[in-house]
Amino acid sequence: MSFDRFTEIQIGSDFHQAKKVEERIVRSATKCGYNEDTIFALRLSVEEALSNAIRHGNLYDIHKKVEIRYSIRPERIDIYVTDEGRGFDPGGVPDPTAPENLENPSGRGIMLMQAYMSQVEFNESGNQIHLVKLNQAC
Amino acid sequence: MSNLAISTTEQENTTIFLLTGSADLIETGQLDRHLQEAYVQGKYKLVLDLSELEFTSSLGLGSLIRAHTRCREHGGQLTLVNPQPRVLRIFKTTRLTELFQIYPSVEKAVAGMQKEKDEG
Repeated sequence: MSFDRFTEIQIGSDFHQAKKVEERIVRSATKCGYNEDTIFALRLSVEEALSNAIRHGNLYDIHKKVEIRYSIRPERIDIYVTDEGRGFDPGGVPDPTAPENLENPSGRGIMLMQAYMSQVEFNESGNQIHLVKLNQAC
Repeated sequence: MSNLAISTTEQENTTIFLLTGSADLIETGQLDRHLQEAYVQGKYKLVLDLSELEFTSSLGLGSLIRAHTRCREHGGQLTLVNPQPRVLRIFKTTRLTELFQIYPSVEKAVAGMQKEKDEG
């Protein structure tokens, strides 16, 4: 499998910059012919990943960067988001759908990415997420 | 990509916000500001019409949850109206359909909230 078509972008810990990246990825996926449901899932997951990197990874530190590396091909999309934080244990995140957690205003990002992407993986330290979306139409 | 427009109307002591566009990581702040303006005016009976909302993420959900809690703490209520299918799926996936009352129309939401108030 060739991964020579990765685009790499680096942004600061800034939501406006994150939104521009999100829009760029969505435009590329739309041009590649992904359907609207997939585009919605992609937009949601990229937003969650970037939001988590800025808020939880880099703690809003404007001096810390977020690296985005992505490949959009007709059969699949791969996105890597890496922050400069200490990382975390994805397994330690409480279940946001548990009754006692429903009124927590945060903690749903990972769960949403797992629900909407074909595959979600973290690196060992937890400061990089890999999102995969397979094109169901292929 | 669309931004977020919020229009406000009043009906039977209930404030109705119509959200149009996307409540994403940039626009959620605008939603929070509108909610804050309602609180400052002592308005805690809120209906959020989501029929024109095309997108939200967990940040938007967080705003709604905080508002729901705040309204309840002040003896009021926050209900939602007619989310679009893709947005509704987010609520179902996160089981927030168990937290929020979701009505098919603003009229039914206002009537429902009035009925609950009358029943004490």
